[in-house]
Amino acid sequence: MKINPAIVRALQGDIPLEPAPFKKIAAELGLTEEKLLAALSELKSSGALRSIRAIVRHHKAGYSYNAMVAWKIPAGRAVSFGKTAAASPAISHCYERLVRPGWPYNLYTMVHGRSRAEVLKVVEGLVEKTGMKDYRVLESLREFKKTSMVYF
Amino acid sequence: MVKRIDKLVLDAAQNDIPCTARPFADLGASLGVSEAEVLKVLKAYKKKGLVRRIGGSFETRKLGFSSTLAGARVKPARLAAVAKEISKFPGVTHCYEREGEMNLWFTVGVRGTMAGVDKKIASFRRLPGVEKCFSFPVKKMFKIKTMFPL
Repeated sequence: MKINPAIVRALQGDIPLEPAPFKKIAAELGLTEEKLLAALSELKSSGALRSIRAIVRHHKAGYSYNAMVAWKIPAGRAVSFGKTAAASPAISHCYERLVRPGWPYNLYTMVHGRSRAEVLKVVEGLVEKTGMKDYRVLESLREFKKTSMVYF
Repeated sequence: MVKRIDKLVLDAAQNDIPCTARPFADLGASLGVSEAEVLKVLKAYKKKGLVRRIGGSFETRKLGFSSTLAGARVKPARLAAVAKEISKFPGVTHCYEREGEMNLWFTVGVRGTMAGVDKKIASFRRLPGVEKCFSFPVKKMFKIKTMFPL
């Protein structure tokens, strides 16, 4: 699929908060609204555009605590562990990643909660459900940067 | 205290804003909230800063980009300076100090193949105070869905 960088550029920031935002964006891009909506639907079905959505600053929404938890999961168990972790609403990201010398953790889960106790409870719940006990809770101590990607 | 309508709108808008001619009317219709109210709530929370952005969420890889998560061990005295230097690169979207032996974690995305990512990581590895720096590219994605119910 051919991706129009101008469309990505128009969506990677904020869309206008008005009744017909795509009409406005289309006009700026020199497209008809129909063309733009068709392109968006194509971007969505290709998987390049996950969604148009509101992105919330989780600290301000009361989710003041988060931890990246790195797990050491035997290769044969990675998929079942990943699926179990992904089912938890408190877990926003779950990936299997490559391991490196001295760092044997292959599964990563980003866990959010209103308190440290709430996050640890989610982790303990996963331990109980999966039987996996080798993990590291990597608490975030300081945020240096958090933005959205600028593609084009 | 968050009002009921605010919660309805913000929870739904975090999930998906439809790509239609009248997206906010359509979002509201499923909640029993008018288009004007949806826009009012979104504008108010954008202004308050609780909403960081309302726009597209893209799958980096499908746009021809490559990305990774990197973990580094940085001498504590150099940590902030290294983090700031790394954060200057636009393709670094997240950069956090975390507890543990690997004390700095960040994401790196570049246009093109993984070779470009590795090159960037190699340059970060050369910064003074960086004792080690590994790239942990994704083998399999199980979930990416940020959703914070109000």
